This record gives sequence, structure tokens and C-alpha cells, in this order.
Amino acid sequence: MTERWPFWAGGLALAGVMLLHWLTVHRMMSVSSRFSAVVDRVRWGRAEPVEALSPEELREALLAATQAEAGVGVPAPPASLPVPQEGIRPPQPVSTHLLFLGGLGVGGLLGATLSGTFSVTTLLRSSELEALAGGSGPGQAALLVGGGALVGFGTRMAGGCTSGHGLCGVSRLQPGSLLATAAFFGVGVAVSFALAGLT
Amino acid sequence: MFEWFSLAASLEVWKTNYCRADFTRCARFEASARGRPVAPNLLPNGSLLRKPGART
Repeated sequence: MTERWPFWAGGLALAGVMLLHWLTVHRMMSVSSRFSAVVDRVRWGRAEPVEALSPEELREALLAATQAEAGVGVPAPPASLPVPQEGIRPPQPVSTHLLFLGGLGVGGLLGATLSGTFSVTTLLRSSELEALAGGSGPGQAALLVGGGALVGFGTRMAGGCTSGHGLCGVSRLQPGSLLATAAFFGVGVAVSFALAGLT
Repeated sequence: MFEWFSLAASLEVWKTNYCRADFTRCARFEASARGRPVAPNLLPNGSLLRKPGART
């Protein structure tokens, strides 16, 4: 099997993975933020543990902190204050992030192996990118590394990637995610046309 | 956290002190500007939201 899945099957599969993640982990699925968390851990070391708070505990703690800040009695925040329904939850440990990121690689490897398309190569298989980087391995590797760095910069700046914004944010009609997804897909289409024009 | 402060008048003091005034002293802004991860329980004054009754 070397053909790509039809678009609707790919969409359903991605939605299924996202839903499965939500039902089992009770968190929005994200990839770039997991990578950021690993980098943050390497760069800044172990962070102070975050204590889990229920919504009620969160409202109470918020009231106490606000009274301490204001120095006078302040009315309690309304019970309808839209704090997250899960309250505050500690971030997942780095080992979980590494397991998830490793699973992406293993899943890709498994898919390629089962479909009989797995092979090890140092060259890209795209005529457009070959035209851009030449036929040499180092040139193409530099292009990949540069592209990866730009993707990392963009997703960090936008606060999410195609999984966080595109799948989870858009499905919840989050304005920022709609804008971010429109921006990075729009630029992707424009760059594709530009590369096609170069060849 | 900013949206919580925006949706309850009783939490206005946070916006007054750390958003409209000198926002560079907001601990959340400071951490973010330095590229550090911002803890979900970090308040603008640098203290942490903890379980009621817990020692700070």
C-alpha cells in the first residue's frame, strides 16, 4: 500500500486520535508544547511543583490572594467566575512528553514499515526542494534543519502548532486558533506555489 | 488568568496594579519575556495560588 489515504479518512483518523487523547488523558492534545516543555526542562531545570486545585479551591485561593494584594476586604469572586472546570492541574512530567514524542516516531516507523515504504535515505524526494537545495545530502539536510528551526520558532511564537491550534483550537472555535491556522496554512499554500514556480 | 481578572469586578485590583500600571513588574509577564515557562498558578505579584489553608 503506497497510496495516501483519502482526505476524509485522514481527517477522521486525526479527529479519532484527538478524541482518544481527550478521553484518556483529559487534556488537549499538543505536540509543539510538549517539545517546548522538554526544552524548558533542559534549559531551566526542574520547575517548582504546581499544586492541583479544584475550581472551588481555585476561587477561594484567588479570593485570599486578592484580599492580600488589595490590603482590604474585597467581595468574593462570583461562583460563576469562569475558571477552568478542571481548576489548576500540575503540568505533565517530562517523561510523559518524551513518551508521547517518541510514540510519534515509532508510529511513523510502524506505518511506513507496514505499508512497505520504509527506507533510509539522506535525500529528499521532492523535485521542488531538490531544486532549492540541490541534489546533495548536506544541502538538503541544512534545508531540513533550517525549516525545522523556523517551524519551532513559529509554533512557539503562535503558542501552538497544527495539533494544538489546527485540531483542538479550531474544533472549539477559538478565535486565536482560527487566525493562527488560517495564517500558517495560508503561508504554506503560498510557499508551495512559490516553490512550484521555481521549478 | 487575565480573563479571570477581566470577568470579575472584585479581581480588578490585579489589572489595575499589574496590567494598566507598570506591567513590566508583572511576574507572569517577566517570566514570559525571559522565555521561562509560566506556571499556571503564578500570580502577577509573584506569589503562587495554593490550596486554602496551606502554608505559603
